[in-house]
Order: sequence, then structure tokens, then C-alpha cells
Amino acid sequence: MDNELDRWQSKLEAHFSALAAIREPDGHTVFAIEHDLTPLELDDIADRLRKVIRLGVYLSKHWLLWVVYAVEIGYDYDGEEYWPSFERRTKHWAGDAYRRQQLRNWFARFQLTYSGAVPTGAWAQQFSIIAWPVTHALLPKDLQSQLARVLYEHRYAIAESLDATAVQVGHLIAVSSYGASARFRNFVEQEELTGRIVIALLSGQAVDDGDSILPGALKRIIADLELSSEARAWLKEARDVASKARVRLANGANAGRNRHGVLLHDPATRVAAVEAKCLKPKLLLRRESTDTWSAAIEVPSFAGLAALNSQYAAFLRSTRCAVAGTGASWNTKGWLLYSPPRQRLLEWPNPAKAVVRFERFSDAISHLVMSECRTSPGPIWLFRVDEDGTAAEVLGLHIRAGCTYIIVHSHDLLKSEHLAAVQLDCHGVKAHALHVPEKVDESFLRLAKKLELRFTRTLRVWSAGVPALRSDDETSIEWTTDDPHCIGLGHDDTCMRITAQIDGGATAASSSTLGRRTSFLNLGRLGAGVHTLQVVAQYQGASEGLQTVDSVKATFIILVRPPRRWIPGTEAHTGLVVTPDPHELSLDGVLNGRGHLLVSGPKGRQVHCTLKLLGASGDVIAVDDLGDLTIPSSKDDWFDIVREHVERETDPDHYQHASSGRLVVDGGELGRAEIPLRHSVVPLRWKTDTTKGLELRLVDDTAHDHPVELRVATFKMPSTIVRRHTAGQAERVKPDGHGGLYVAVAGPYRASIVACASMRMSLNELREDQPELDSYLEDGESVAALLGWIRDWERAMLVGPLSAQRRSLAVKLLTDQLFASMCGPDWVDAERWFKERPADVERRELLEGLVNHYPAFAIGLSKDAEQMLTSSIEESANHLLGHAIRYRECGDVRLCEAALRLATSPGRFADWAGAPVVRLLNDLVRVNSLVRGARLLVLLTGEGGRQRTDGWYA
Amino acid sequence: MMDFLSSAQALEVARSRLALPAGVLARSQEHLAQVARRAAGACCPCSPKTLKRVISQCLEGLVESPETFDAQLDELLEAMQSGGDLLELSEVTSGEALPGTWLFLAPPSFAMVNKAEARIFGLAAEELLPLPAPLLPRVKLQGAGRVLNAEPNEDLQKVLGSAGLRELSTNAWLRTPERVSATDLVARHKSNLRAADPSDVGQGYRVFDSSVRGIYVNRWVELNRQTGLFLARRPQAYGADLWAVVEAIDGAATRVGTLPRPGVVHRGCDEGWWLQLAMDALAGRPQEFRLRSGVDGVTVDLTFPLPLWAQRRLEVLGRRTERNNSVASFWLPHSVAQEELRLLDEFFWMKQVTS
Repeated sequence: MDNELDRWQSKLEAHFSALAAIREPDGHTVFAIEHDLTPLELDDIADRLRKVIRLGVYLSKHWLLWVVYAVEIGYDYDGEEYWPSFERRTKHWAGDAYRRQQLRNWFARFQLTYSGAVPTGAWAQQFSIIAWPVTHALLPKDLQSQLARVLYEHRYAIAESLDATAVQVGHLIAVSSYGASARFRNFVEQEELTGRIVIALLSGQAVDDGDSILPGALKRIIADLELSSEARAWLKEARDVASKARVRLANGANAGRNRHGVLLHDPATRVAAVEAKCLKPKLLLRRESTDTWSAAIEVPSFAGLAALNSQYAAFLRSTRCAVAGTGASWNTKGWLLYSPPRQRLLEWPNPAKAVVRFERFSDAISHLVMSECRTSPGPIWLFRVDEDGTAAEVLGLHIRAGCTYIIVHSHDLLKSEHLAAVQLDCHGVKAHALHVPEKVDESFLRLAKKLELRFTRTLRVWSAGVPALRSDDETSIEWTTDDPHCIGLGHDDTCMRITAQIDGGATAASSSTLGRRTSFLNLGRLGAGVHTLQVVAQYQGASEGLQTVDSVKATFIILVRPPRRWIPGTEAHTGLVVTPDPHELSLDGVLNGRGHLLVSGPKGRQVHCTLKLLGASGDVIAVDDLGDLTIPSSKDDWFDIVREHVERETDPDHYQHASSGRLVVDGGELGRAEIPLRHSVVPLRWKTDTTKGLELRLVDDTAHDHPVELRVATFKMPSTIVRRHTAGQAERVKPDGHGGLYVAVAGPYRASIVACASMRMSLNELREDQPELDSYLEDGESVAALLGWIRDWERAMLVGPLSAQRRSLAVKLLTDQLFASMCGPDWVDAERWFKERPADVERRELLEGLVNHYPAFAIGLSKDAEQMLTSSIEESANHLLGHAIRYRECGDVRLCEAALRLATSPGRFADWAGAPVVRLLNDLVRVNSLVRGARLLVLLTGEGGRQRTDGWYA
Repeated sequence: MMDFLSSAQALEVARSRLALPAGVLARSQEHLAQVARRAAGACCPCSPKTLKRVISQCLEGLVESPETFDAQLDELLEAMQSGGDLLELSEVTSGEALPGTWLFLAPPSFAMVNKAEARIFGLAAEELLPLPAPLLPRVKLQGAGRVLNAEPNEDLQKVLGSAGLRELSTNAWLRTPERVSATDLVARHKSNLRAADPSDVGQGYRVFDSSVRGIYVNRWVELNRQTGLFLARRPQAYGADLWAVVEAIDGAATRVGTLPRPGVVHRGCDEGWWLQLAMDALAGRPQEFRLRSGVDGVTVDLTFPLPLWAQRRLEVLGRRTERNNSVASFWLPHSVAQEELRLLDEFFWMKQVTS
């Protein structure tokens, strides 16, 4: 037996015990990477452990050394293959299938004995063993650069939160890591751990005290991180910003207190208040011709709100939203975070309702949006016409001499010579133009009073020297906290003196202003919040309308908020807009036509598209040229360039080596958009190797709680298992015959791949290998199994020539079999006939006639198909339910939803339905007219319908 | 502490936010460009008129606003477009699908003029320059442009790339369009004009009349009794002037071709200026430029505007200087002068005259 190992074991036990004793009182956990061993000592221990395992002796005696050994491999983990690396470095380890669980037990023992960290998050649940060594490695090498980049890109927001708890800081990092690799996003799910690392990295103190992370471990991470000059520069800049913020936060500790030191308003509350106020949408009119106007709405960015609260940020990134009155369907997730583009208003928004509607409900955000993200109450809205033909809303309903306004109104206005009707292309309101003469008469003032317009000429305000972010010069100014808060005041030269008071406190009085028309008032350094400025101008008898006044009082609202810092990769108000659909694209999805990009911008310009393939640590491993698109590009344009690319690709295997990717759309001077392509590594997955002919390799990172079963189906019999066996840990399969579908299943995990082994097939061979299926199935269990096959074929990775085409044929025939079983063989024949010429009335009528014995039911569906099938499944199900109740077909919304889901996406049905899938299918067969009706809607709405319903699973 | 300030004090308060180094004068192009960057971040997409109004308003009472101020702002916005901060785009299909021509922010970018010098351009909505703090004091304001020079042994390209700015290669940024003869260029426009609907000509055109002598602005005249093919502008009740090619007989427009032509990515004015240069060359009275020689380089005084892409070349390879009885003047180092002067000849058929 190796006495040295005993010595190391004892030494480490003492070391970790001491560390745990320090950490426990504060509730801080211990990480195995904090072993404080030198590289030479680690090498020595590793050599000795390898010898021990070769001898086949009892390993548990040195369990702590194995924990450290596993952690060191975790520190080098690249996100792809932990066990292959482990087994390569540790011969004879793989001989015992129980050893993975044994390692997990040792980590659990570490956790219990030394208050060790516990892996958390969805990734840790999936990878229940390797999550331990990877978590205890603190920040594995492949993530270091990515963390430095996130710290740099979000440095201002992170710096403001450094006095928060580790969990809060970690949460902020998690929601800021939207564009990072899947592996990094998995890592930041462990928010407390991430927060501790970030606080330590950005704070000089924690490096020395070791309360949170042992200095040696942190220094090692920083040293490795700084090996990259880019990461070093990012970290340095993030630290500088954090350091300045710390000084400012310390100095501002007394801000918001009165002279007795009593807290007036919590700074965070003030920021929240101003961010909420900044949610007010902006309405604009634009002249289309001499007397025709259109209306547009600009919803402000919700980025400020998201920065306040990580839960808000997470919600906004995970739900779609729609803007009232625009007629547009759901905007993509996260749309509100990046300066949403102005949208045309087709219908005037109801001022009693929020302008933004979310697909999902969030109590906190919905409340804020309801109270602040609304248009002015009306019933009239005033817009001042600018010389460029736009008109901006005047919130305070103030009018000035010499200006022209458009009055938008929801009820009829009284007739007046001063009002000229204009056409506003927006439902729900009418509009009149109003020109205010230089000299107003009694009749004008009467009109103004009736319309509740406020005539003013003696005092106006503007942001002096630096333009405001937003300004309605009659009532309000919006600034950032970085701006000089200095205003210009415009007044008549009869003004004698001005006094001002801010927030009911500090006051200032000007010296004589007689003979001047402008004055400048420095408001001092205003903190974030909503401020009220009251100004009194004393006049030598100035005229206000027809009256002579001695003084004029005006109140201005000053909104001061934190600046929205630029985050690389996000472009605001540029002319190039790239929209992924669905919002989160995957690499496989893009290559297999399950996602696309829409590019808008200046008509006729070209953008160049490339596909960047990334390794597990985010390094670029290949750049594929996709081609050019002309703006505006359609979905078909996108599919065309991807299809051409896939067809001319001579080495499709290189996609298998990519962990993730980026679609890059380069518009030259217009800008460049990089759309991340998700790729989540799952515990059970296929890899391919073509060095010696096509070979499939099963990567199994599961805990071995379930045996891995391998099922094979051929192209000829796509829903029949032709071979089934229990797979080994590193199963390798050489596809035989022409290939087919290979599905590996281990408990809740499944991985499928379609492999086409033949490089060339003659037409005869292809014909002989065509799928052969029964025309229909008769029981729910068989249909449920069929749905499982459709899912496996649809989701499978593709490898080998013709695999895409052959998979497509298999899925088509399986789908036909499904609807023949659910709706009857005649129905499927009618569907095929209809698809050949969808515009043919006779073919549509044949389908309608087959839906059920009440023709009116189907005809009604046909008539309202576009309205019935919307981008919300709840809405669509309720539409179908309403129709079905009217014709006494069905009164169960659950069945309506099931029918729609089955009709639109059979491959997703089984997972959605869960365990009761057979019962649900049996229920549906009893109301199969509902399924036929749903299918009719799908066929009639075609591609447009498919695009809308894609979002049901978003 | 709230207090009333004089206009000089108020201007001083704004200087630090605008990152104006000592010595930059009020109402200089550097000063106005910084104000315009901030205004554009808040207003774009918008029309040039809106942007000019916002700039003027925020400087009201702070700087003198002589009658030439509006022209100075026009010149500024032109320089900011050639410098790459702003993009004038037509028929943008995103959002509300803006008809007409609007100014947009260009994304934060840089181009390496050489290994040691980068031009920084493009804007972030709420930051004048989104660079790491240590780099900010090193950025030099140069007219309406921004320049960053490398420190010894510094890989500036990598530093700016790491900061998240997008690099445009100098070749791509300064690319010239396909060279075309004056005859072909005019023929293309005539062909386009033939396809125009003769019943849709409109009224109120001002045309560029080459027979009128004098400075550029004075050669724009009402379409009165002229006959022939003209570069024309028509003020609109709203938005920017419309640029067009007008075929007229006795002062009556018979056909009108709007600029830019469909599918052309250049601005309407750029297409129009290029056409005018071609027409003048074919008429035997090519546009002229004056050359002033200096120790390190030459200064080119243009009496007729050049398209944006050509202005950008001259600005990046040299620099824009104060106008000298010209529509624009550029200084060029001797190393590039010959090549760029050849461009004025080959692309625009311009003639050099001695100053």
C-alpha cells in the first residue's frame, strides 16, 4: 500500500477541516479546488492514484484524493466530454460501471464533512455526477474568458450591484449571459457560486481574506484567465469600473437623507420610480400627404427596468409581447430589452389599457406596465407639427402662438373656423389641424378653453448644452445621471426675475433678467428619480392670451435615470434589424430548416451571411459562407441559401464537432448582427466519426441509474424496431444496410440520429427501400407509439448523404398514417389531393365535406381560418371551442387544444401530453371531427399558419 | 446646489459631458459634432431637420446663431455621414416601414487607416463613445471625426475589437463604386427616365443650371424656361428635399426620375451630383477644383460637392479642412495626393485650376 497517499489523504483532511471551520460560521461553502496543492504535488498524487487503480485495490481509503483528482479534470473540462477525458487519463477506471456512483458518493461525503458546495441548477440535475467535479472546480478554464467578457460587457450594471448578496450578483450575471455559450449558461445557473466568484474577481479585498474563496485558488483562476490578453483587458476594465462605483456608492451612502440623517427615500426606490415613469410610450404622427397623417408608437426599452431586478430581466427575456393597435403578432422574447423599433398604429390604443401585453403573466411587471406603459388618457391628444412633417405629442396640452398642431380625438369636436379636418389613417380616432395665430382673438381662446388646451407664451424650458434623452419642452425633460442637469429658460424680455424650487426644497433666484430672453439654471447634481421643478417668472405686465399677468408659474417634471450603457452586439436604432424565428435558434434547427432569419432595413441593400461554428469553450472552429440576402429578406430567401449551402457542403461532419454556433449577418456600414445558435449538451448524445467509414459513437454522461437501450428502425420500416439491445458505456455502431434511425434511451434521456450509410444509391435501391406502412392504426396505444416515432425521426441528428431527404419521406408517411388513423383513410387522400392545388375550390370543398356531417361546421372554420389560428394556443383553442360549442361538436377546451396541437405538430404531441397520451388520443378519436376541423385549419392557413403556430412551443 | 448661470458658465458645464478637450471652441465642428452625436442617439431615426432643430434648441442662448448656422449644421451632418457616424437610408423596411429618407445611427465601429491609427465612428444611443475608460482620453476629435492613435507596441486593432467595436476593413469602407464613363452614366439615367410616367411629373422644381456662373448654391434656379436634362430638387411640404432628374421643355417638366434610382444604394444627392459632374464633362465644361500645395501635402478646394464615398476617402486618407471659397476642402498628404487626384479625374472628370 502507498504510504504517501495516506499522508496526502491526512494532510488534505486537515486542510479542508480547517477551511470548513473558518467558513461554517458565515455559511460559506468549501470547494475541492481549494486544496492548496502545487502542480508538482498534484502530479505526484495523480501518478500514485493511477498505480493504485491498476492494482485493483480498495479505492475508498483515499476518497478525498480521488475528489481532488476528479476536480482537477473538472477544471480542464471543455464542456463536451468529461468521462472520456477522465478515462483516458485513468486507465482501468472504466472497467467498473459502479465507479461513477462511487465518485458521486465521495463528493457527497466531502459536502457533508467539510460544508462542501452542492451543485445546483437544471444542468446539475441532468449531469448528476459530473456536476460535482465541475462545480468544485469553481471556474473551469473554458469558462474564464467568457466570464471576463460578460463582466466587461455588463460592467456598469454589475458594478452597481456589488454591494448586493452573492446570489443577487450571480442572478444578474445569469440574466446578462444571454448570448453566452450553453455551457456558460449552465454554469451561471449556480448563482451563489457565480456571485461569489464575481465579487472576489472584482473586489481586491476578498482575494486576500479568503473568507469566500481561498486566495491560492482565486489567484490560480486569475492567472489562467489572464493568459489571454483579451480576457485580461476585459477583467481590468470591469475592475476599474467596479472600483469607481464602490467609491461612489460609499460617498453616496448619505444621499437621500435629510439634514437630520433620516432616510427620505431609498435610492433603489427612486431609481425604480423613474424607470417606471420612463416606460411611457411615445406617440408620433407623420404626414403622408398634404392632409393625410399616419400614427406610430414607440415603446421605450425596458432595459432599465430589467437592470433593476433580475427577475424582471428573466421574465422579459422569456416571454413574448404584443403592442396594442399595431396589428402585429407576438414580438420575439427579449424584444423590449433592445430599443424596440417604432411601429405603425392601425388602431388607436385604449388609454385605459396597457400598450404592451405579455404572453405570460407576471404580477409585478403587469402591474408596472398597467400603471405606466399607457398612452395619455385622452379624449384628446395634442401633437405639434414639426417642419419635417412629423408631429410629436405635447403631453401637457400646451399650445403656443405661431405653431401648428394636430388634435387627435376619440369623440366629435365642436365645429370651429380654427379647426380643419385631416385624415388620420388609424381606426378609433379622428383628427383636426389647429394653427395658433401669432395674435389670438377671443374666439380662439374660447375654443382652446373648451378643448382644455393651455395657451402659453411666456415660459419654456430646454436642456441646455447637452440634448435631453427625451423632452416635451412644455412639461418634462429626461436625463441620465451622467448628464449636466442644466436647463435653459426661455421668456419674454419683460421678465424681471425668475425663482425656482426643486422637489419642494432648494430654491434659487435669478438676478434681473430684464431685457434678456434666456436664462440658465443649473439644478446641481440630481440623483436618479422623478423630480419636480417649479419656476415662477415675474413680469412687467406680460400678456398671456388676452390677459395681462404679473407672474407666470410653471411646473416641469425632470426624470433622471441611470444611463443605458452600450452592450457590444446590441445595436440601437440602426438601419439593420435581424429577427430570428423562433427566437432561440439551434444549430441543428437551422441546418434542418427548423428556424430562419428575417432581415429588414433599407430596401435593396445586400447583407452577407456566415455560419460560425464554435467549440465548447467558445473558440471559432469553422466559418461557413452562406451567401447574400437582399433586404427585405423572406423566410424562403433564408431557406434557399441554407439549402444551397447544405447541398454544396462536402464535409457535413464538421457540424458534429461544433458545440454551438453564431449566424452572422453583415450589412457593412449598416452593422452586423450575430445570432447565437443554442446547442445544449445532454447527458446522452451521439457523435459521429467518418475517418474509417461512418461510425456512430454514443456518449453517455448519465449516472448509470438506468441501462442504456439502443433501438434501430430502418427507412423501409420507420416505426418498427428491427434491432434492440443494451448499449455499453462507449457504444460504437457502424450503420448496416442503408442505415436508418438509431435511438438510445436511458430512463428519461433519449438521443436519436438518422444515419444514411450508403454514399450512392441507385433509383432501384431507393425505390425498394421506400417506407412501407400499414394504412392506419386502430388503437390509442399504437397511435401513441407512432407519435413517439415521429418525434424521434423529427428530432434526430442527420448524418450521411440523403439522410435529410429520406428522413423527410419517413416523417411524411408516418404523419399520413397518423391522420389516417385519427381522421380516416379518406381524409388523408383528400389532404394529398388538396395539397397539390390548395387554391382549387373543389378540393377545399371535398375536405370541408369530410370534416363531419354538418357542412356548416367546416364552412365556418374555413371562413374564419386565419382569425382562428393565432400565435397563442390559448386563444386558438378558445376560438375552436366557441365554434365547436355552436355546432355541438365539443365543449371541452382541453380537447380543442389537443386537437390543434396534434394537427399542427404531431412530433411534439407526445411530450406535451405526457403520461395520459393514450387516454387523450382515445378521447380525440371519439370527437375526430374536431381533429379533422383542426387539420382543416392547418391546411387552409398554410405557411402563414405554420409560422404563427410555431410560437406555441416557444 | 441650484443656481442661475451665465451662458458662458452653462456652456462650461456642458463641456465635460461632451468630453470636449480644452481648446475646442464653442460652435466649432468638434463641439457641434459631439452635440449632434448625443442628439442623434436620442432622436434617430429622424429627418435631418429634426436633428438640426434639436441641436439648435439645446444651444439656444449658449452660442451665437448667425444666419449661416443652419448651413453650418448641414455641413456638419454631411461630414458626420461621410465620417460614418450617421447613415442616410431610404425605404427602410423595419418597424413602421419608413418611406422616404431618414438618418439612422451607424453601429459603433472602427477602421484601421494604418497599423497605428484608427478612425472611430458609429454611435451608441446614450454614450458618446462606448470605449473602456483608459482609451477615452486618447481619442482625438478631428472635425466631425474621431481618431485614435496606437501607443508604442500596442495592437490597436485587437484592443478595439476586444472592446466590442466592429471593424470595417479600410478597403471595404473606402471602396469606390464601379468606374463608369460620363457617357454611360448619363445614358443610364436617360434610360431610367424613359421608364418614368410622363403624367406624374409634379411641379416646383429647382434645377442646377450649369450655364449660370457663380458658387454652387447660386446655380440652383427655378425651372423657368430651360430645355434639356437637369439635376433637380423639389422641396417637399415635409421631410427632406426630393432629388430627381428632370427632362424639361421650355421650363415644363416632361419626365421626372426620382433619385436614388431603384436598387441603387447611394443617397439621392450622391447620385445626382455624380450625374451632374458627368453632364458637365460631356458639355465640355467639367467641374473644377483648386489645389494649394503645402510642405506636407496639398489642399483640394472643391467647387462642386462629391458623392459621400468620395468625400469619405478624402477625409480618411487626409482630413477635412476649413472651406476656402469652396463647398468643401480637404488636405491630403503627398503620399496619397496623386492617387486621389487621379480619382477626381477618372471618376468625376474634374479639372484642376490654379488657385
